[in-house]
Amino acid sequence: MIYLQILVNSVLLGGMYAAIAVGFSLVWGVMNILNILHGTFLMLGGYITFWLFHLYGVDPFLSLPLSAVAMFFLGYFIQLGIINQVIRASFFMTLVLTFGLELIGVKMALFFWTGDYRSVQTEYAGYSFQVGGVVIPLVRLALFGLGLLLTGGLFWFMAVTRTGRAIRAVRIDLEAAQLMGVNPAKIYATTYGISAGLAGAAGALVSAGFAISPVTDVEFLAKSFVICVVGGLGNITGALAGGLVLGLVENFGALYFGPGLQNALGYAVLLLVLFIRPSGLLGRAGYH
Amino acid sequence: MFPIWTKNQWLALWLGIAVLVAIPQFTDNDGTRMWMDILMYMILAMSWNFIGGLTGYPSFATAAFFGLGAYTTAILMNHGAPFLVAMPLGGVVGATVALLLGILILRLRGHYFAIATYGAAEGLRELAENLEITGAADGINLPQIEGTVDYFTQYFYYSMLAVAVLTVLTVYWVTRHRLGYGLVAIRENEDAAGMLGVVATKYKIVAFMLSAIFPAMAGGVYAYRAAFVEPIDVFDVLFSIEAIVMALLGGVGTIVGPLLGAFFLELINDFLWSHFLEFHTAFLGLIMVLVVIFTPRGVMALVQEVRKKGGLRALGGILLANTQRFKV
Repeated sequence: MIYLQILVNSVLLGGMYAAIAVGFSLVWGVMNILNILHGTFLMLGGYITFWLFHLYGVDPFLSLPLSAVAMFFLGYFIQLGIINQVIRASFFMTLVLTFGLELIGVKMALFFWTGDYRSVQTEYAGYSFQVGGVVIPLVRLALFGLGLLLTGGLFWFMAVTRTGRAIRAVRIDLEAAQLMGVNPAKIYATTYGISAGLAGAAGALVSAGFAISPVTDVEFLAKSFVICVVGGLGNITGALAGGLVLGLVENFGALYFGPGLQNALGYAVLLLVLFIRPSGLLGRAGYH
Repeated sequence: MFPIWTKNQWLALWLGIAVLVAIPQFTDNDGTRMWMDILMYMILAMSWNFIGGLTGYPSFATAAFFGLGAYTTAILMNHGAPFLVAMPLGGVVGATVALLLGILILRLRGHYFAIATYGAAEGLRELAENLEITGAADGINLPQIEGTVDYFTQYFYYSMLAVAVLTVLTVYWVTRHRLGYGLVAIRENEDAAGMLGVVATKYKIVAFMLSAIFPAMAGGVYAYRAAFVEPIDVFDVLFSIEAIVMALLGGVGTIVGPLLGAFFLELINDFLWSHFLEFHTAFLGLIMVLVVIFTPRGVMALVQEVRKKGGLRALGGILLANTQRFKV
């Protein structure tokens, strides 16, 4: 029974993890940027949700779109104003650039909001129901559902909309896309904005189910690394698979080795997958 | 590619070492400690340059090796080993882990390599926080050094200086040797290097081990000086980042660049620590952003360009040109 319970917990967690990593994977796949700021957007989205709840009593699931939109615009202008300046330099330069921005962002968050852990305590936070002896907490189920919705939403967006197709075109052949009238500076900014918006929404989910603090940033950045590498880059099923694997590893790892080694196990899986199958479990070329 | 050293450059090197040897005689203990920190970061930056600069594999594992050296020294000294045995053994442990890790991940390129080194470093920190031999999150104490403040400040300073001189000589040797040219060939085009007979895997592993052994020894000195090690301190990812930023600031892949970068950034750091303690990392982040946008090839290259183009009046134009070069 305990295994079934842990399995269910892992699946529920995995849905949310997919939403956390899918934007990270988008920026990596399209622009070849290892976006260290991803966790920062997530953390900021979480804080928006927290403060709206704390100050005005706005339900976290209602403020989720607000977090997403705010982070979309922040990401859009960071890409347009800063990252676009060096986007054609080596990948290492954009890595250092986003790392520098991350250090600034986290320090500011620590300065304004201190390092305290904060969580959104809704009235329904403790609600749960049972299915065949397995306890399913209501909030976790909602996080799972919304995580899938966000991940699937991106899939739909990339496949169907004009902007989504422009993003894929820029990814495949920049010059040909330019000849077709695509403005790469704006498309890059939009891509980055979408990724940041997804991170902001994921941050709202995290703050609704877990505690957040400025160090949440690095924690979820590291999770994004693991999920993307394990699942493979640039496809949505990969993000789902990676999220599920990480959920399973963390939950079963806590059962067998104690909760202290959870993160270390995540890194061990990361190194193992990189060694055995660097393209990830479902690795294909991204966003073609 | 690596210009042959002129007589003047050799003179500058020996003069520099002589000045560093003499420094404790001319400054107080605080000054000596500051110079020891500068030396430590010079070691980290020069070591990172082996793998990140010459070979073009951006490693975030500097902190991992630093922490490994610190813990090895701490554990061995607690079992009765003298410092001068424990600290070099820390270097050996660092190099051995680099060898094993290198076999595992040096096939990876680009972002994958960066992530793998980051994961390895953070994973080691998490391990140190949970294992009994490392005292878990509480950390472990080292035996206190005996003697006066003057004595042990200088003892640690000269230990660090010895490691730094060893690092510089290794840099010199590598850039004179087949190895250095092989590493640069790998950076420029790994496949072509392979065709020219450079066994890339072997070369990369040696570079990775060189990037590990000296930070591990510096970590040993750091641990003995603090008389205490804990995971969040010695496995702090900031050690990796500062090493990278220092190399970038001076000029990635050059010989003198990391030395100068470490010197200047540590001076800036020292100023920031004493005036804006809270915002220290934010300023570091700001420096990273500015360097990437305005001087992506480092300050050394900037100085050369300014001299070639006729003095400081050209500086603004050069900085502006740098911002336009990699725009979309």
